[in-house]
Amino acid sequence: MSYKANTGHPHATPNFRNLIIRPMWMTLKTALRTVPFIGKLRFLKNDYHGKPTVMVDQATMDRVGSEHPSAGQKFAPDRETSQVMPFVERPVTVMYPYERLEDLEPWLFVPGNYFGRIGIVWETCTACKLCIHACPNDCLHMTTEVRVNVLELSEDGDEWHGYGGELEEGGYAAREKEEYHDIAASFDLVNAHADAPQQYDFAEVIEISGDKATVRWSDGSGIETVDSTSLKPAEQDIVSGQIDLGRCMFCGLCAEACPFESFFMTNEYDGMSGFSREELWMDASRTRVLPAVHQERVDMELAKRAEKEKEKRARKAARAEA
Amino acid sequence: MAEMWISMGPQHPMTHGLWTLKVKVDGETVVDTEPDLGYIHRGVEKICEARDFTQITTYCDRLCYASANTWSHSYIYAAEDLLEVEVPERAEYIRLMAIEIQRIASHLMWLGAYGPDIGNLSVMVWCLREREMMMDLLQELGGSRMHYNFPRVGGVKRDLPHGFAQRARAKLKLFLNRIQEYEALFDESTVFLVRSQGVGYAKPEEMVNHGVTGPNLRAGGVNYDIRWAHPYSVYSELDWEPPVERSSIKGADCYDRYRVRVEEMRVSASLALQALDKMPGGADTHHEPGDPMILAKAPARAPEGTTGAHHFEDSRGESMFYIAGGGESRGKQPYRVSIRSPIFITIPFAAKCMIGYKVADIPAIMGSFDPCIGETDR
Amino acid sequence: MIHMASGDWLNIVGWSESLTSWSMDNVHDILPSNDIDMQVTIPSTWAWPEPITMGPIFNLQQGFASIQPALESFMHATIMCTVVFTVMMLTMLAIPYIERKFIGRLMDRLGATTTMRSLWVGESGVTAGEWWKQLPFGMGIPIGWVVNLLNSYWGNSHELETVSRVNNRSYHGYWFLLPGFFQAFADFMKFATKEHIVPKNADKVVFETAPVIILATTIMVFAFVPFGPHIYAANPELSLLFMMAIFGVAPLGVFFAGWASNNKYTLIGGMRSAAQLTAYEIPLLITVLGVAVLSGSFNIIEIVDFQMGQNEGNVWNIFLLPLGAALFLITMIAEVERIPFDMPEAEAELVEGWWTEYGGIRWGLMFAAEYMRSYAACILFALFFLGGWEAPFQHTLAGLPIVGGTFETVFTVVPGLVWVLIKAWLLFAVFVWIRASLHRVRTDQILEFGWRYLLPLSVVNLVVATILRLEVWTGEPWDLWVPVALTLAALVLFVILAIDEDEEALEVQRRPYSTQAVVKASPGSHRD
Repeated sequence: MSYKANTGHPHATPNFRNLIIRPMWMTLKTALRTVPFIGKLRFLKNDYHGKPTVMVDQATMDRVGSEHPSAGQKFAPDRETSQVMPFVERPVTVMYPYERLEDLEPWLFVPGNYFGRIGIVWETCTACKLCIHACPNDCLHMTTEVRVNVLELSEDGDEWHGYGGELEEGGYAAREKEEYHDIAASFDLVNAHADAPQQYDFAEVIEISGDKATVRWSDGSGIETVDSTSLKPAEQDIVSGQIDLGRCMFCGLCAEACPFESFFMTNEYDGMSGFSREELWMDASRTRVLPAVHQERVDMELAKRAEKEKEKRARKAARAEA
Repeated sequence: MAEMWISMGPQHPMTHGLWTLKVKVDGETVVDTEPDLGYIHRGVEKICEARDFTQITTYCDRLCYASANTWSHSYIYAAEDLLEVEVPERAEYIRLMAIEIQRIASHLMWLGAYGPDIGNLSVMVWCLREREMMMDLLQELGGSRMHYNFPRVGGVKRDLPHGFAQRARAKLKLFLNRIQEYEALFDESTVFLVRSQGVGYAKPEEMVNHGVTGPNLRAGGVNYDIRWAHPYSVYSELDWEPPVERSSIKGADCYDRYRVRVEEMRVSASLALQALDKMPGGADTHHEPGDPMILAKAPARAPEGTTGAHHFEDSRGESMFYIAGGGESRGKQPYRVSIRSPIFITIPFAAKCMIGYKVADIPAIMGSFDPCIGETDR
Repeated sequence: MIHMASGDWLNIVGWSESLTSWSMDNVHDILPSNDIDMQVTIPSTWAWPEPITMGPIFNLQQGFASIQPALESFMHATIMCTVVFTVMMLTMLAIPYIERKFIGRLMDRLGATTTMRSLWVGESGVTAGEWWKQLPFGMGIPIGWVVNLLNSYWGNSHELETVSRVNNRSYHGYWFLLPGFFQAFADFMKFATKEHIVPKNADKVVFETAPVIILATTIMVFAFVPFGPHIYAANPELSLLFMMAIFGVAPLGVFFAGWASNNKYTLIGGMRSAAQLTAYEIPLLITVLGVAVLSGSFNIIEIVDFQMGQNEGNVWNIFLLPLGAALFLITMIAEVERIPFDMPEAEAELVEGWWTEYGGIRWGLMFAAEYMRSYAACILFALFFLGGWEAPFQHTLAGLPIVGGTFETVFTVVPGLVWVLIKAWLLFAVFVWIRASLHRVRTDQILEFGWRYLLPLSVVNLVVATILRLEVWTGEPWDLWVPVALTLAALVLFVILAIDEDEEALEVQRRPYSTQAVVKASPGSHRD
């Protein structure tokens, strides 16, 4: 049989040398290596102790910049600060909160790689609920409502008119209530004791054929076929969301599921504690991220959407010509 | 002194997990034992019946928390067997590297706990110091230090980060050099040898009959390593051999089991280094998540009546997942997930091994079998 | 009363005696010295049926004079006990400090020594910037040269940047103070404020008595331990015997504690402890007997004086009885239950062993008692084998031609207490070193080791000591060849044992090949 069969370590016998000399010498060497001056003596070290290694890679260097404390730092692969006087290669202990590990070892905290606190860019969230379906533990909760896309509210002739969505089968639609403008004109929002009047009736679109659309009204008045031109496209938009950190296991499946650059895991591992379970519910204010990160994400998402919109119009134009 | 039952556990510094070991002692000699398991039964198999195949990976990390990658990969191979997915080669290499680094971390945790069991406190700190190296590597790869949720059905969730290869090589090479320092405190220490040699004999025939696998079995001279006997992933393409101890006539004692694991650490380190060298596409290239080099498209549903099973060499033995697909009625979720835990089989055997030895040998014997109760109780 | 052979200015016993006699003499002088015609009769009571008559002539001063010696010795004893206890407690503060710091280094838990680093790097507070420039008269310029030289040879150019990364590390201790110094106080405060819990069916009387026994006997040991030539609480002729006897009473307390807690773990721990401590008392006593035989006295101060000798050629006992020193060390480690002999309180099996059920101040004091016993063991080793309050090579150094005068002055100024403490603390560091390196030996192996190996060796040691004393010792200080020969013999034996890696034994140790009943599949077989 060609397997590697061992019979123990070559020096593994219970003799006098192994009784006290060998183990005590090992521990003494370890202790002396941390002492000034003596720690540099060669007989205490094998040739692998305290050898500086390049640990920071180019991508990390680009990310953190050359002013970062880790630039120019010599690291050893482990955390033994075996060379004193005056090499300090890698700390044994990170003096949190005065020092932070992401400052000392930035390669461990590449954004997007580390499962830190969840960060959400609410502005670009479209309430698609993919994150909720992805979560194994039912930690994400979201309340949504159907709203008309704000771009739809423009008049013909406005520069941004016509850039809203389109009616889709399976989507939502809204029809303005006829009496709305009359009521709204005379409604005193400041002094009235009633809610503001609703502008639209909402419906789910079942089928579109040419000019006609079959819709099911959300107020329960049944299915009706109406003129498409009287309908505006609507969508589900997010009202509020919460993450229950008490259940979250930081698996990252929700962040992977989001197609809209709105949901990601930050590098932060602080600030998620509380004294009661309710304090662990992270709502919008507790999932905010640093402004630079926020802006970066919003830009990414808007670029994506603009790209998609341009392609759509190009295809439409091509179809119109053909 | 009359015979008396002592209950070690459920809260006890030695027990490596939450379980009770009742021993009947006659003075200082153990006469009978009775293990009590189930304190951290969390119902994982039942939970998994209500989760997608991607979501189940997160629960499998938590089966044995000290060795999370091996368990999640153990599941993912079974899921790929069920859904009939071909995994790209680069993903297999990345998986192998993650598994082997995790195996090193798991064995270091074991060694770091075994030393204090026998009385040496220094080695705990030394082993955990090396384990920090491995956990840093796994943090870069997977995103967190313990539960990574790393594999996906069809590949891995993301590629090696930038600069990972240089750091991994430096750390693994340092680790290979450092192992001899722990060995000096164990193998070259008479006190350890007299505590562990001749203690807790386990005959290989009995182990095979009972179903004990993994390092415990290889300590008895039985060459059964699933990576070697039934190769999966890319183990057959790398140059390695499983470490087996030639034990004595009486069987494998604690020292043999310790030796096997130390050699396994060496083998795992060399496997990880080889995987880095042989990675298709090079270890320094970085693909985006979802790239076909690292993730193949996989179906999300399994037809009714199909099954998938895979046995896998976990840090502690042979772990096996058996998944039954549910078809339309179950949607994206399996009908049944069944998990075979190696330590669940080993603990009753280990409890039997203790009979006839002293009370002071209980932590030595129990520790040498490397129990992890998370996977036992599931 | 023993004659005080060694001269030392720190003569606390003498000061206390003179203080008490001065004060008592003053009281005596103040008392009236006239005869008082008075007869006092104490009638018979149930306590003393016979009536007592004093008088008719009663002289206060003479009456006081008759009890004055007793009063003086009582006052002296009180003062000395307090002083010795205080000295012991204060100097014992170094013990947990040594343990904590040294074991941290051995375990590689503490990083590089950065405490004093700010001296050459300049981090914060006093040492910010290049502090040497602030010294007057340009004294700091050469210091700056040295610092820059060292930094350029052993440093990297980013020294200050790396320093900024380790900035604020001085908040856990100034560079000149010992960081972690107050941990022992904090620990003790914590123990003092914890709840006192008695297990339900425990034998309350015995449960409460056990810590008292342990602590009392441990503190009593220090009554006989001289910290310096004139710093001791009691100095009877047979102080060694007394001390060893009291040292050996603590195991009884341990056994009580183990039994009274109504807990199977503690019972096992108590049993183990009783067995182990009994087993190691005997080699300990025989070794100490060897020392006493060699030194010619059972009085500790005389043993130390014997090592100091009168003229040149005095030798510490460790060079005469190296085997005895090693035995003393091993048996003392077993007596104080430190790793590798701490089975009775092994955390792995027994949680905390015989003191599992104790909490609060009782546990704190017993824990302190364990450290006190280690401390006592270290001091005793220093006294018996390392020459006590004698500086190394004291006579030789003082006899050197030119510098001898300086050394003589130094040795006169530095009290003997300092040497005792330094030796004891160094020896405790050795204890800690052993603790960090070795595993715990199993109880039956401990007992086998004690009875089978240590006991015969201690008898050998006794024989050697007897031969030395009777045949070799001439009443004069030792000839140089005697300790040299003995030490060399011991070293040679040590080296021979250490390098003995018998190849054949290695082969024999390898367990024979097994009859492999079942061998699994060869590589490359397919999955089924």
